[in-house]
Amino acid sequence: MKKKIKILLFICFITGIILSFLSVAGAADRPFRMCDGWPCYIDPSKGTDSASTESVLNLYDSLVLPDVKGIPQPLVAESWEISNDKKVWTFHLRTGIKFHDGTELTAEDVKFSMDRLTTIGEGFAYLFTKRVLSTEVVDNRTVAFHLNEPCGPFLSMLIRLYILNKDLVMKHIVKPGPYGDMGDYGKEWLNANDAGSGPYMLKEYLPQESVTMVVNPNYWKPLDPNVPDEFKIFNIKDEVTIKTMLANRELEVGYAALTREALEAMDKIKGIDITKFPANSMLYYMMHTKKPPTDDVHFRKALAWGLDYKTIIEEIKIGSTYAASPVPKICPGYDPTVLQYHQDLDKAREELKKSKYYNELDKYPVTIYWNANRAEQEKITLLFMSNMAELGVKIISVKTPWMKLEEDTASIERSPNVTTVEVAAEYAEAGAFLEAKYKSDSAKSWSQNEWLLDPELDASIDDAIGTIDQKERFAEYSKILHYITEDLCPTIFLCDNTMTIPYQSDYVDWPGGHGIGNAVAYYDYYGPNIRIDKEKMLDLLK
Amino acid sequence: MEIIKTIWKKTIYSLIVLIGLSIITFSMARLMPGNTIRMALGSRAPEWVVEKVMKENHLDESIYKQYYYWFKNILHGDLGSSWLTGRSVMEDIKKFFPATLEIAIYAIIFMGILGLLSGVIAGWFADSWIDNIIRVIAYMGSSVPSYIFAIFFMLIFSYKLQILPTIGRLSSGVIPPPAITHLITIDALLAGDFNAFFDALKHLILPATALGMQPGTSAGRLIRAGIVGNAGKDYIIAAKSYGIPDKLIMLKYVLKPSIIPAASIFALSSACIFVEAFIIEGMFNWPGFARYGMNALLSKDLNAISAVILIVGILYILANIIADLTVFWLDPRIGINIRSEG
Repeated sequence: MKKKIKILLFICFITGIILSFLSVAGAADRPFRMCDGWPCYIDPSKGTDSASTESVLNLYDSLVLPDVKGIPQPLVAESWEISNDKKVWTFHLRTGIKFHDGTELTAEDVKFSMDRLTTIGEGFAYLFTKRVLSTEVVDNRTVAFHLNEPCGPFLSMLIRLYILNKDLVMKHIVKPGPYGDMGDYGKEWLNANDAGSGPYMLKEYLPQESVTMVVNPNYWKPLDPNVPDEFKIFNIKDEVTIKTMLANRELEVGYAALTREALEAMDKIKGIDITKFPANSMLYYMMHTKKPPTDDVHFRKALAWGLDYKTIIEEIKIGSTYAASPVPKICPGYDPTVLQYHQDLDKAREELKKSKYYNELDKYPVTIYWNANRAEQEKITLLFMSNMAELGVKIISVKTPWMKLEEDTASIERSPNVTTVEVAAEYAEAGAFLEAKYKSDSAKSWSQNEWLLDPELDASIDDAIGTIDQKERFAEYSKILHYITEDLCPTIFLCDNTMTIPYQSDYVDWPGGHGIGNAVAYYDYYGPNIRIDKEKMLDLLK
Repeated sequence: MEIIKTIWKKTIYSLIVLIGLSIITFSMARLMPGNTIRMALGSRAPEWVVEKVMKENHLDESIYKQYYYWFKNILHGDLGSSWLTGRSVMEDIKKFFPATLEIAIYAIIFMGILGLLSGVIAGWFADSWIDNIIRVIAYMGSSVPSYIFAIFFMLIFSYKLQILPTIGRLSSGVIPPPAITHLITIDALLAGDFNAFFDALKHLILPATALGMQPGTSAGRLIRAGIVGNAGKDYIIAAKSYGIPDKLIMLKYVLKPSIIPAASIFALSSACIFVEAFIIEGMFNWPGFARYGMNALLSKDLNAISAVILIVGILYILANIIADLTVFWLDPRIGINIRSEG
């Protein structure tokens, strides 16, 4: 009897296993699944990384929305004006915009969002903490920002002010907390919940695993019927996993930082194509202008003229494009007339001869840090070593974990001669790069290793950013770009980055698939701009 | 009772080891390069925000004082907050540990079955072609890291054959069972949800098998060597001469002493799984404890690092105790030796 029971149980077990292979799990009609890194913060006051921003820009609305060129267009705000002294920006909000819980978005929510962001001080707060003196609710539909100085690209910066539902957040604040009466400002609750009005609503937040959002059926703006009904971000960067998921149609878009070999393998899968589109970011060699021998402008120019940019573009960072000036070509404010360095060993030698270190090159090696997580940076460094050897310049290559790179570049003494870093703009204007890369108050951050510490340059950048008229502002930017590139040469601009991403070309239609990159980082993944052809998707799954 | 006294002594010594481990981990985490708060808040966060957070977390005080606050909190069961997740570390551990425990349980089961089967078969057919094949596979298995197996299995079963899922603990659309143990397979059985049970089991096959391959094959080699060594002993020859069937001799008289060396390896490998799992968890998008620990290390999330390493230390101590108990059960002579030493 016992034996019969055992046999029966075993048969049931095997039957269950077989049946589970046959069962088809429920799925969204038009899913859009992508992968990115972790952490992924869905609280708009926290992360500035890709996964966090990709989630937040879909869950929340901001006052303005960037078009593909990065130009802010009306979104929650339907119009705005600037005061005569250029320090007060007044926004008139649309009526009928509802948060996901059905309550109406008002000026009070906008004020709350700005106050919250600047009080907490994390995430994109740095764009506003030094600029916004106060936020005023003029009436239910009107909000005014009082700035301490005029700020030309303020509208572009407001793309990063995501509007929260004040009442909902206040219901969930935890007291006591670090923000006085505001307790924890809802940080604990917003770790895993959303308080937005955006085109997508949070369905599920699984830490370390995935974020799932579903389309907001009551979104105030009409959405195309073919937008994804489910938007999911997986925490996956492994190439084998991504390849398997793309082949099984479990993923619509792959990860952006895959190796060339992995991309070639994925390209061979039926229905998968590799798309390339420009990113508003660049790869730099940032040269320490206060440390020998890179403290000599002629020495720096020699390095800039000596590097083989062609090999970087064609062999290493395939798909990237030649850079000129501190800002990428896709960035508003870019100036094509700025000098573009290219490999010219004669010019390099000429500059080197003018350098005070010319006769002592062996005593002044150049230490270069490159990111241990980026295989292509090692190849670029080896190329750089080989190019510099032709000039007689000794390079010491240091493979550096990110934490050490970040720590050392915060100190003028510990910073190496050259640091390899990619920098992206948080808002789509040249001013974003100039502030991040050349202003003294960002000298201790990883985005700057030049240590220019130049009060005159700081003032020029501030003046440019303070110019309200865009044409005049861009003209100011142009002067600064010329000065930095041609006179100071504190940076070698290795390339303009290109996003190279595998995706399901048969049924996914998105701007990225047409080679169009958004000038504002991460808006390539704005849900309403994506289309899923359900019938073609089902055909492929057969 | 002597064995209980021994275990009690080991536990006391282990507490001392844990305190030492906590001091070393605490210091090393703080000596690692990188500004913890800057990394958590972003490089552009205003200086006043960084200073405020540092003060709230006593990071502006001496390392001795920081350890004192940390240790005091530990005694109250407060492991601090994770700057990465924004939650308490205790909450994170409760969330992520069961996921790794579940993989580990199935990996250990697989490891045991693989080790025993391969060891016994190879030992039974010692020096035959079967033994040779098993030994070659065992050498390969014990020298190949688990993530290579994971890649291999994923490419075959998920990519080519498409019969096993690629990632996650459950398929989308399958409703998770009510969380009681937080081990989905157990919770599904308790809830009578066989659909979820089998779906979760399917998701466990690849990661658990990949993790169990290397220790399983290593254990198999040790068992095989033990069997070959013990099979020629006098008492076995005597048993054979009494006419006792070979199968009974193997399973009752030869196997028990042969698995003693493997038992220690087995126990320590089980603890090792909790650490080695981070690559597997990354590949299979498994929200586990090992991955959490690795992310904490990469982000210099101090409280999470200290907690994870302490827990791993406890797991190794438990594994050692279990290994000792198992060896004592397998070979009671060890108990006699302890009594005579006492």
